[in-house]
Amino acid sequence: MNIIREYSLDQVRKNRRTSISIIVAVLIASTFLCTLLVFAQSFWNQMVQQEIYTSGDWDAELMDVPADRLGMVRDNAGVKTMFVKGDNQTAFLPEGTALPYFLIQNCDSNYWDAMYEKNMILRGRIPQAPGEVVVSKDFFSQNQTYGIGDTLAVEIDSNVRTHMEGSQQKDAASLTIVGELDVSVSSGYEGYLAYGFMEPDELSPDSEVVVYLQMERRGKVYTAVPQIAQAIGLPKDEYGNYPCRYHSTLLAWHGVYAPGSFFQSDVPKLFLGLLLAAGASMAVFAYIIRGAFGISAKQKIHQLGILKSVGAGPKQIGRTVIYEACILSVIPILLSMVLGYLFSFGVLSAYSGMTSEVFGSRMEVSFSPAAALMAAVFSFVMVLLAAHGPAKQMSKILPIEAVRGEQYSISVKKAKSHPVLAKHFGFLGEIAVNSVNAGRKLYHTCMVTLSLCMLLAFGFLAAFTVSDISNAQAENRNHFDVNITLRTGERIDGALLAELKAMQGVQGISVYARANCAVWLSGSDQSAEFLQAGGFDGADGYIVERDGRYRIPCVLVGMEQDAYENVLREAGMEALPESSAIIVNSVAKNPGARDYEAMQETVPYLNLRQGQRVELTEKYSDDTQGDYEFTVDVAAVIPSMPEIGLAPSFYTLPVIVPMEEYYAIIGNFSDEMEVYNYRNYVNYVAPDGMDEEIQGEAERICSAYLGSSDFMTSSKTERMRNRGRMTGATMFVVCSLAALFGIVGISSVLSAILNSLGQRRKEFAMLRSVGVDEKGIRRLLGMEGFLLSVRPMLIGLPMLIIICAAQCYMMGVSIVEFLCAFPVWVLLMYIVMVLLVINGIYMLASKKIRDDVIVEAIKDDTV
Amino acid sequence: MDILRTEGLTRKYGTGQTMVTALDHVDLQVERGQFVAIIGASGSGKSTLLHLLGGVDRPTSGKIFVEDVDIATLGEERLAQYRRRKVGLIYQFYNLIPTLSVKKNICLPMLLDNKEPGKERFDDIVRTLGLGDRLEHLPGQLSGGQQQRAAIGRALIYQPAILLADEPTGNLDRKNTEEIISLLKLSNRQYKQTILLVTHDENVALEADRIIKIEDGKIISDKAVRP
Ligand SMILES: Nc1ncnc2c1ncn2[C@@H]1O[C@H](COP(=O)(O)OP(=O)(O)O)[C@@H](O)[C@H]1O
Ligand SMILES: [Mg+2]
Repeated sequence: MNIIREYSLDQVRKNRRTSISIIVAVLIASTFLCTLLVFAQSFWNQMVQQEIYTSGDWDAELMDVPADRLGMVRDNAGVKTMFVKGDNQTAFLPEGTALPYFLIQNCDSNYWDAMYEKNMILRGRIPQAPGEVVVSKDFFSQNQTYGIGDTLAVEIDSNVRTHMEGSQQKDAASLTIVGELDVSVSSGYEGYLAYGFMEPDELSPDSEVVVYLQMERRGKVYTAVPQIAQAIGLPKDEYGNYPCRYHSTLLAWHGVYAPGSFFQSDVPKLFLGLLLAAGASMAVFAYIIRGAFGISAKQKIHQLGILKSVGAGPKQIGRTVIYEACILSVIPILLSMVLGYLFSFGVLSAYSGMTSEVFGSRMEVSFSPAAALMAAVFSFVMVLLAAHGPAKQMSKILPIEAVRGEQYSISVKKAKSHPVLAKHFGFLGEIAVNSVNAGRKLYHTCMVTLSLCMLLAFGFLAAFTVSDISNAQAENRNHFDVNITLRTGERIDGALLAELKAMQGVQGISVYARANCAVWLSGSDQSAEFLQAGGFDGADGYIVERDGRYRIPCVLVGMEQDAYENVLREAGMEALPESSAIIVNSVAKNPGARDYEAMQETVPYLNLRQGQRVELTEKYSDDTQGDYEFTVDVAAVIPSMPEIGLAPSFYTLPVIVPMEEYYAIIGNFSDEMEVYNYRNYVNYVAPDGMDEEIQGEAERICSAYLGSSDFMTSSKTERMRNRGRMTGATMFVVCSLAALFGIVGISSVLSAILNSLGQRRKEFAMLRSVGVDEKGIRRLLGMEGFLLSVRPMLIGLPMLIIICAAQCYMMGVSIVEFLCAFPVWVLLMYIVMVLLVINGIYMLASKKIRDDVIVEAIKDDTV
Repeated sequence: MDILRTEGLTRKYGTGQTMVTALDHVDLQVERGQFVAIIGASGSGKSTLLHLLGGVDRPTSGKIFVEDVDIATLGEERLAQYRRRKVGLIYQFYNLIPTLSVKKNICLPMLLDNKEPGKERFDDIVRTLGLGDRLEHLPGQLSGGQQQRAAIGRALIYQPAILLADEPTGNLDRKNTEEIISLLKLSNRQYKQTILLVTHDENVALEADRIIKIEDGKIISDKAVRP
């Protein structure tokens, strides 16, 4: 074996105490890294699973595919799995049902396996053969005589979207109901939604279906799918695109992006955040562990000097430290995988227990070999980083200095006198200050480690607290107590809205819909006041300027006719001209303002007058696909947004129109935006303490009409409770990570102290031999411990306070609010623990030193 | 031809008020194969001179020529090579690596070069040192004299041209001292090694070819005992 390697191994075996302290530090640090990665992976997995659960496990979708081309798609080399939905049928139900039809979509077995509809089955099972259907829940509630297992004699009308309109034929058939589905369709269709089963091979060649694809190589999806579409001869639309869609959310979680959309996605940002967090903790841990390697190297400095003086080169000397690092890190890194998994399992289980009601699902802890490998690599890099410094230091030192050890370098430093301490503690106080100063390394280690741990852990807690407070503040400014979002993708059922509007016991209600759009104006259209406050040119990032024209973001708001008329009346208008709109002509005077009141201050925005005609466009950003343009006549210009629960974004011009007109306009938007903009928002003001009751009632009304994924309700109380739960759970996770940091910090400081005291046994014996008594030694060490533990706090605490104050300032949170919410007791506990542990160690050490036999301690000298 | 030559060799420690000039413009020439004793009071700069010659310390100014190469200008790796192959340094205290066996301690300079000593030469040295039955022991299990002999063995193993010994017998009794001095003389004669020996002991110094006396970092006398 190479002599350097042999030497390092021997040293590791011999210096048990240092070896163990390094192993412990590496173990905890890599456990932390491993935990971080398990957290990240579990989170990722959760997001992917959730996405698959709610929208299915597919990469791309091809629409309007003729059934006879399915074989070509299936056989394409790039396609892993294909599933098919379509071949829509209308089934005429027997006499006596509330509505006359089943609107059936047929799906093949792959589809049922991979897609989300199976998750919406309330009772029964998925269809497994042609002729079996699962039916929407309103069928059962409206036709009590039917149940699962019933077979119905129906007439099927294959309303395939062919070009042979009118040649519809009806075939007699029988359908067996095998399940109940939590979906709905607008009552305008006069039918019940149903899902059936089909064999793609048995489709008639001229029927058109929707095909979903899982790709062999996901990364290629954005190039491969258009090629497939081209190969099977699908036509392009007016924008030059094939009729295909991509599952971009799922693809993004797998790191696959449409060209150009990489930076818009959150996933790279999250990943970058993870890397930063991992990098920062690696750096901190590396610093801490570096101290341990430094101690170990210092202990060997005499031997390294001998090695050097007999001819070991600087590289060989450096390698002794690196070898040591490798030998000492293998076991803890392997062990940390287990510990990290167990730790994160515990923490995540607790976390998911606390948040499962908020999220509606539990978080699975997942740990893959890839994450394990990555954690191991991170940890190893961290250890090498830590060992690098001492290795370099050792390889640079002059051989003779190393052989002599450190005795010279300390004594040449002139003893500093410390008037205050000297006055109160006399000669001993001075010695204590000097010995703390002399053990600079020790002092630095304690200082940096303890204050860094404190800053990291509590700085993060503070950030979290502040954002929590600011969320709560935003909530309190919310005028409405109960909020409902209806999103069926089509016009909301009038009966449902009527029932919601008739809600008993509410003090106020608003119903609205909204769509983004834009208006192009010239500079002369801005009001004088706005111009003074900065104007269009001061609204970088919000307002786009092209060829002297400005694109102002607008929000088209649809309000119920009566509410619309109320607003008009309040503005002093009676007449109701055709195609009229109310413009809310106000803009934030200083959107950059920090505190809420200043931010609310507004000035008139544009020079718009009643009777003017405004031309708006659907294309509110360059990425918007559609470019429908429409005009409205300004019926009134009002100075502030009516209280309907909608707060327009900065520099956004609200254009309010009656609901009917709203629908007429968005009906011309590009398909995707049209579907999105059908959303309706219903808000209630509830009497104190009644909001959850009203939410429950709204929930009941909505689920009678809609599938549970088509609406969302929330209330102030519920949000507050959820926020409380989330806060508690996140605090728990943060605290558990902070605790790991704390353990690493304190344990490494302890080993540094023990080492330093061990080295100075001789010094103490000398003091005793010249007559310092036991009491003196006790005071001396007590003082040193005190200084060592108090100083990091004295430096760390002000820095922490600065960090907290800065965060409060930026988020507009007052100090009192912050102090009420911040877990001050945890901080106090940390401080008390640090003081106790360090002083405790010094007390024990001082006992041991006082028990030393003077002569032996002095003799205990190896050089 | 001188194997060793210094020009204006100076070494200062510390800075400002606490600065010490341990060695002050020393000019010295040593011929190949010479046995030189260096004497002087404690703190006069003997060790400093030896350390500079051994390449374990760097001069503040001045030149050190070993076989016409100025080692003061060598890079770290080359200097380490010099220490390994060209000089053997023996300190007053034994300075063995406590975790390595005596055998490995002796062979250390060669092992660091990834070489094994020739068996004959190794056996020869071990026999001369009288350590034949202690090779697998750890240094801690040896007596002081034995440890110092092992250190000498380590200095000899690479057959360096120069042997530097800093009071190698300072801690030993009369009998061990005599044995070690005769060992050095044997090596000096057998292998034509140049030896610089720092000592306090008049009798030991008289064994040398030449005696150099140092005071306050300067050579104050330099006389040949034997031609
Ligand atoms: N590393 C050092 N730092 C400061 N002073 C030193 C150092 N090494 C040696 N000295 C000083 O240099 C002088 C010469 O020391 P040294 O060469 O060890 O003397 P000798 O070996 O003759 O006793 C002494 O005054 C000593 O105090
Ligand atoms: Mg000396």
